[in-house]
Amino acid sequence: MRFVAALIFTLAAQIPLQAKCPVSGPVTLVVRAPIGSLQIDTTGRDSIETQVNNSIIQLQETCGRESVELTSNAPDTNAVQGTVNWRILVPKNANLDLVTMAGSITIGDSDGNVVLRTTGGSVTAGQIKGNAAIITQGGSIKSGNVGGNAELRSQGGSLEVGDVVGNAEFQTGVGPIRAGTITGRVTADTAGGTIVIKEARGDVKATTKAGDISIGDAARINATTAGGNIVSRRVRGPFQGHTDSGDIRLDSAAAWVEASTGFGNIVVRLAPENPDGDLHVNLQSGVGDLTIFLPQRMKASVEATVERPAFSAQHIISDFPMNSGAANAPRGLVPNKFYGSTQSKTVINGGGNLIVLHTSLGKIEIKKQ
Amino acid sequence: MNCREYQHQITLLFYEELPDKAQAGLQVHLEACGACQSVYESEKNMHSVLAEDASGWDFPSDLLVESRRALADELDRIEKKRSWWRVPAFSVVFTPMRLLESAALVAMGLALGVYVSNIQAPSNAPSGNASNISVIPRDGSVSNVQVVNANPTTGEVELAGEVSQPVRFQGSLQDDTVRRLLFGALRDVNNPGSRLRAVEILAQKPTDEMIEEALINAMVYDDNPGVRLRALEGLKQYAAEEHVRSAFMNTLANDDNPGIRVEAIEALTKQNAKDNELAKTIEEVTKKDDNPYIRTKALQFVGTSK
Repeated sequence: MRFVAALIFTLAAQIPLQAKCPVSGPVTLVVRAPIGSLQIDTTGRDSIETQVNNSIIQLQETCGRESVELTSNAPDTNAVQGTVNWRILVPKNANLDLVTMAGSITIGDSDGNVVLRTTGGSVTAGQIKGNAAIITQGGSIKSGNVGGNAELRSQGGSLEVGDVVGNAEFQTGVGPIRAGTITGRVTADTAGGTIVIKEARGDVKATTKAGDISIGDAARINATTAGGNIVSRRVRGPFQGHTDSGDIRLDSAAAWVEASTGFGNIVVRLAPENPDGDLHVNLQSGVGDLTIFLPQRMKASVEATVERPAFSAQHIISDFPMNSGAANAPRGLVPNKFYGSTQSKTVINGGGNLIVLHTSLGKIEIKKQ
Repeated sequence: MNCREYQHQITLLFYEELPDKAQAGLQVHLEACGACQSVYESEKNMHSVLAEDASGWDFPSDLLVESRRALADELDRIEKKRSWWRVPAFSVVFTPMRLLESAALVAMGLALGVYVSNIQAPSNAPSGNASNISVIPRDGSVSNVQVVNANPTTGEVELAGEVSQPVRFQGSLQDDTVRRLLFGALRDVNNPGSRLRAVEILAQKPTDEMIEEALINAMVYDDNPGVRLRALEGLKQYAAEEHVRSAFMNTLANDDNPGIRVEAIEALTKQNAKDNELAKTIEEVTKKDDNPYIRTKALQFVGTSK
């Protein structure tokens, strides 16, 4: 008798539980799963069908005209044997509002808005036509293109997304951030990992506590890393960048630039879109070389200082004529130029935009382009 | 001022040692005095010639030291030639000061010379301390220079410091030097970016025992979560090996980042699917974890590992 009961129980546990809600027109699927992974198949047509592979889950569904809600009892986690997977078939145009208390989330392509939240586990999404908010308390997030705004947050895990048509906000407790072309503005923040943004038509603010920052193209950049390089192919507006240790390279800067590194080289090529705009430049390096390319017709007042110039090396090299000299009056028992900083100044095309170049140890090159 | 004094100023002018005020006076005098103008042109030509060939010169690295020492000696000599009545009044204060000054000048000169040196060492460097600095490379710099010994009588000083110079090295991960450099980068407390990059590279081939140990160290002890996560990812496939497993358990129990703990438990449960003892330990360790996913994952592992 006991054997038969056990057999029935085992069979029951293996038979998937099913639910089905017919839908017509745009609908929002709301899932509140106390446990388990969610797998959303978006190839459905006129209904939402649900299967859960574990009998410990007692599925509860509410079928409405505009929304379908799925939830279940909250089982004692000690009693859960094996995995719990929710497989849900939905129409592609359904909006998704999914929460699982423990488990990963996978969705296919969606034409709606999606909100995906898990207390832990990875999230994988296909192409999303609407807005996307994807949040996990631990795990990676990977998504295809997003047609609206994108908000990706993880307390720890990598973030990866394709192109985003709206604004984008990326935040992770740890891990790299990688994104394609963002039409709006971008905020990217990681406690450790590289940040790579292919292109941003809006402003970019990127911060990492370790790793390189690479931004292909942006309207404006504010980038900070505690250790790593900062590179950009093109910035169409102002640039602010700081790295505690690493190089900074701007291949084309259209407006003012403020860049500093504790240890590393800085290379900036100014390519102003508006010659009458604010084009001031401030480059600072603790130890490292500075190189700036200035347009021949740019109006500028240049101040270049090498705090501790190398003994026999030429420390300020300029394509523009410079007036060089010791920055400070001679000091010490025996006045000697080697103890003082070396400073060169020049005025280009009548002067104007202040170009301040300062390195404690290294050389400065000012080149015409 | 007479022409001799102006000609002295010309020399200072070319070494950028002449104050701005004096430069104006000199300029006026040069316009009026043909002799001084001639001296000016002559010195200017000499500087131009020197500047053209300067890049090819090999300066002895002890040149500056010797110059400083000669200067100090000359100052001493001048001091001794002063009126006899001045000596008693200043000797008590001045002589030790002079000695100290000499030593300090030599030390500063030596430090500066090597610190900012682009200077190639001469092949026949003089003996003694000077020969030691000859090993400092052309683009090296010296930091933390300390005076170990200074002999006021001879003017000899012994210095200690740390030499650093930029290096570029290429080789495979099997190469000892490459490995040592990468391990060194891993210990660079000031640059988490450099540690992250080093871990990324080492994680590509964690087959070697030393690399594995380095990654374990980074995973457990590094301050930066990015470095810890990357090290963990590199070690994932070896989570069944006992010492790697222990390190993962440590991370699962102690890491303050939930993302890293999630990765740790994922790897442990995947690589040790049927280890019931481990499952119990994981259950115990994660009982109080504030992340529900980790607690659930542990309980599920207990269920499936039986």
